[in-house]
Amino acid sequence: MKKLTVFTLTVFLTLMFVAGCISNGPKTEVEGSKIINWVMGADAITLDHTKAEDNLSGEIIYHVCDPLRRSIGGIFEPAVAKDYDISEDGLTFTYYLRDSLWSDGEPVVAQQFVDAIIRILDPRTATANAHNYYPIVNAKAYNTGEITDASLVGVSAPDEHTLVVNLEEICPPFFDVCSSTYPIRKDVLEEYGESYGSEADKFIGNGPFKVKSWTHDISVEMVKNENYWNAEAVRIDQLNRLVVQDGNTRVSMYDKGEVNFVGAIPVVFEEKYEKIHPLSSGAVVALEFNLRGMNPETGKVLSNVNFRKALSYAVDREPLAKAVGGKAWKAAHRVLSDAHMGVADTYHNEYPLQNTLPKNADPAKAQEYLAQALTELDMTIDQLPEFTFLLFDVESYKMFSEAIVDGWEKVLGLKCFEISLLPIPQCIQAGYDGKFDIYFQGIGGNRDPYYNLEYWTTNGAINWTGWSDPTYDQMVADTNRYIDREERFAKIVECEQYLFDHGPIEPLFYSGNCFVYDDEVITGVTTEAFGCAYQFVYADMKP
Amino acid sequence: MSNGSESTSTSPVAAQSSRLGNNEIELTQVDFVIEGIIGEDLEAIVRPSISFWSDAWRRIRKNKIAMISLLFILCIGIGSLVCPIFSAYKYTETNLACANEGPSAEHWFGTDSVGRDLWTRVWIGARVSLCVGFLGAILPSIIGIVVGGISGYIGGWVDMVMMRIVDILMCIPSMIYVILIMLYIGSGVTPIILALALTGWMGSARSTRALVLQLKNREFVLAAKTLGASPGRLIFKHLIPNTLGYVLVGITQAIPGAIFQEAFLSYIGLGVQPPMTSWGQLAQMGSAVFLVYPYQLLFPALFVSLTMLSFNLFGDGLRDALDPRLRD
Amino acid sequence: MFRYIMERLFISMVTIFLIATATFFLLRLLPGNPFQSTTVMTVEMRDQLMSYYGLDRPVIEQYAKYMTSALKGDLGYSFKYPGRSVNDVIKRHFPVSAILGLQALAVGFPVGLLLGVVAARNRGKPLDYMCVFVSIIGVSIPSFVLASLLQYIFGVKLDLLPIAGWGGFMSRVLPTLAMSFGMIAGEARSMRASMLEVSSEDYMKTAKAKGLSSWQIVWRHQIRNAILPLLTGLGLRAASLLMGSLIIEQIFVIPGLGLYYTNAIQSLDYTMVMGLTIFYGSILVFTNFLVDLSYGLVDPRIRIAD
Repeated sequence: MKKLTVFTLTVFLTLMFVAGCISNGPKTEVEGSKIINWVMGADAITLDHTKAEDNLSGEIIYHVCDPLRRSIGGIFEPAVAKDYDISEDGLTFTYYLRDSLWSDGEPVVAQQFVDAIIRILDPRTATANAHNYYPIVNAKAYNTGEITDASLVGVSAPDEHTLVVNLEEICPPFFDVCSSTYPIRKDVLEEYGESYGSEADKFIGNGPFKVKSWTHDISVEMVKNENYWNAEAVRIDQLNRLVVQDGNTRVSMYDKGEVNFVGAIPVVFEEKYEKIHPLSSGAVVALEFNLRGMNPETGKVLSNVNFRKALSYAVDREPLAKAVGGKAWKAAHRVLSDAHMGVADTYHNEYPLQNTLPKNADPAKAQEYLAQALTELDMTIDQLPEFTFLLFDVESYKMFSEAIVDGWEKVLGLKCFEISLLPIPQCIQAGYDGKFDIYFQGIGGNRDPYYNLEYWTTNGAINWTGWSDPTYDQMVADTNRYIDREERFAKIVECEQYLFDHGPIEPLFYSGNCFVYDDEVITGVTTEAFGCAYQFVYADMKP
Repeated sequence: MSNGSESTSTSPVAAQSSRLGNNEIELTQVDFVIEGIIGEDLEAIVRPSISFWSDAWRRIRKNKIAMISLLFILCIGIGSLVCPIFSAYKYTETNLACANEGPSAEHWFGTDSVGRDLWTRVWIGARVSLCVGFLGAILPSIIGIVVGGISGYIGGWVDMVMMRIVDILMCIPSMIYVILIMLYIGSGVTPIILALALTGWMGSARSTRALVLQLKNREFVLAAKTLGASPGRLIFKHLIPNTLGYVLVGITQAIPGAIFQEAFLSYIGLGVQPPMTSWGQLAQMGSAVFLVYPYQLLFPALFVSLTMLSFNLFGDGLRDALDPRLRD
Repeated sequence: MFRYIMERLFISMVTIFLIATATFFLLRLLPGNPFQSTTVMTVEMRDQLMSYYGLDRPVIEQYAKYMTSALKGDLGYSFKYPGRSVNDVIKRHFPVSAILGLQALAVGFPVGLLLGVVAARNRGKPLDYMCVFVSIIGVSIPSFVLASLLQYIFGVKLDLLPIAGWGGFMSRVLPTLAMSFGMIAGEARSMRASMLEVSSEDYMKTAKAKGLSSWQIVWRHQIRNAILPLLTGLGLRAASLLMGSLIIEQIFVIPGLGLYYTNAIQSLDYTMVMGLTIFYGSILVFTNFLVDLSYGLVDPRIRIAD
């Protein structure tokens, strides 16, 4: 026994010692060069831009791939496409490409954009991104398998430097989506097949940086791409993105100087830093009411507009946004986010809305609405059924829901709400199945307000409320008939007003998060609410 | 020779000894007067008859540390029932104006990020944590003891099959069961305890089985068998009392385990539903902000630690009190 | 003995098969699907994806398809991470979790045993109370609190060790410590209880009467017998340590498997969950097998009886 113990102990200790000597960290740096160490809370999922659906992958792809037109700080600039043409009827986009190279020196040609779009639409790729390209001729048919000949899809490359996209129906918002397409190399795709984009060496890009290494869930290292057509404008030598899930650790790393740019700082540390920058995420958080209710009693009450307004006016938006969401969160006073751009100014400034919501709770008004609702429903407070308030099991959502429910009790005297937290897939499934009364919904940040409004049409992706209004559906569809932005937006605000007055949602907050860096050391960082949040393409560093 | 207490006649011994000589005494029946049975007390056990459990209680009472721990646990238990009722604030009451304040005269433990009074929340959390801790440790242990005990005792293929079933159940990620339970039964304290019971009994089944395997070949068991003890009597009167020591240590270790399991489940969204909270949840929320507001972590963590300390010390004392070999 | 081993191996295989089956069907019982975590999509889109991946076929058919490829060693591709094969993920991340687990075991088990032995030998004296106290602290503090505290004290305040990362020797100290704490505490208490149980056995008195020195008694008799109940627990504990701890890996930024497992279940990444479950299942079954074997080796009474 003694020998056995001694032997086992020796083995263990040796193992430990050996293990200790095996190094595994990707800390390769070149002295004296400009390096940005950027840390986020999660990692990219894939480098294959045709399949990437999440922001974190999108941010890396933004830096290592180059699209037709690139959005810098919210304004589109020519990228691979140095010029473009939109036909008078709005049904044809023509892009004129410049001479540019991939990071391995191969030229970028128009056919590679065609390949990318076909791949996205190919049912075998099975990506939800396909939906974004449906305005193209035969796109939906190809994607659903109705037709199998890819050459029938309305995208073509008449020569190496021209890309033509044909639409089935006029769709002005689609232009920016289409311009954000990245090219893809068929030869590299064929080499790696299914696993393209899952590793640094199974990928090729044409962007301002190229991927040096990717250690899953640890870091992505990117270095300047010398073959980039605009390489002189790129001043940063190395861009490293680190993944640290724990908020405390991220902050400690910044304090210790191990990183010089922190995205998504936890709320509690916001007070600590002077150089803190709030950034809107372009998303709106709202209460989604199931008009059919989880059962007929709740459905009956929730269908009453005044009841919904009562609940809405009882929420103390601004203080709550700041307390739980932090500096980047704001009270929402209307349905569309304040991050949207109008024609020359912000959308909110150019297109005001009527009857917008107050920043703080309005107890008097809320109680008035409630009284009215109860009269209309012919019920007393005690006769109200119990409502299920459903949300993701995310820490901040939990706090929000608890505070909101407490607010409903304090202001309206209502105690009939039960909070239900579920993991994300189950929560979304419950949403689809209508198993909720009130849903704490995040409405995605799409750059063009059309998409955000389209969510609430009868077949909208997150319209689980049973609200179906043909007038609204028609209004929204009609906005696309106007090519002129000013005219189109005049129609968009009408839709927003309609949704605001009659729709099944009550907006609560405009969400966002804060990031920290020393802007006197790192300059030229651009950010935007939609698309890639943090952009280092034209960043520079003082030594 | 003459002490004179019992004999009523002259001492026949003395008479005999004179007859035979100095070193030889021959004793026959005539030499003795049969007095009869004086009383049963000759074979009486000196101290009063006492059952196994009252003896244990008596012994543990003497253990000061264990008693203090028990007192502490009782105080926490009573506090959890009473303090939230008498507090000036409700545990759901938010007040954004006084968020994230440190301990003060108004808020003895400070407030959290939406201005809720932490004193009240810690005591409310105690209800959930104690409940979950107790039941979430005792239930699986009981199930485990029964299963493991039977399996170990019967042995053979029954043992084999049962242990394989245990192996299989142990490998299926418990999160799946938990989510399923939460979905079909709803959320709250009962489903959590159920989930803990269903996922936690395997460990104690395995160790009980190992213990029983060890014990069943011991001499006292063989002796009892030879004397004709029935299996039931064997299990309940002999095997189980001898396993109790380990079992109790196991339970006292399982109670903090149950509480932390609940905290972990809350971490991934399957714990007690808001606005109800538990120590685990409070500690988890506190650890996210402790670099800036340490008190938000300090109080729940302190309560958890002290309570667990008490459970462990009491468990130790209980185990000592139940050990038949430590009788004095 | 050989026959015994073969029997046990066969049963282990069957066990793993049953584990996979049970997990497969239980997973399918959960509502939701793998595609809903990140994107908002219409019902048609979702149905299209489901049908592409074969998720709308009868469950039995999906089961058969999965099992046939799994038996060939192909655990499929992750749903959540396009293009990443499950085998690859395991190959890349398991060694990290395993090393961390082994380190924690190498530190935790001996230290815990030692504490338990010392406590038992000095029963009732201050040393005993100190050891018990230290071990109880380990059991009383939640792992995430402990990990955060250690990171803060040694990494930030005192700046002695790296806060996070998985590189050279220094960066492994804190995570190993955090991970082994629970084990130290647990083993110390169990060992102490066990040692005390054994100390009143007859053979202990015999050994003393024979005139053996204290150390000889402790080494040859007390520890060997006291360790038995701990071995069963050790098997389980070792396997779970190898699996990686979500919390430790998260706080110290360690690219281990624990994170993958939890995320996989939360996002219903079917292939990942199945692959990891089969993998862990195999480890657990194998470890139990080893423990049962070693039991026979260490305790002659069981060997005879079995």
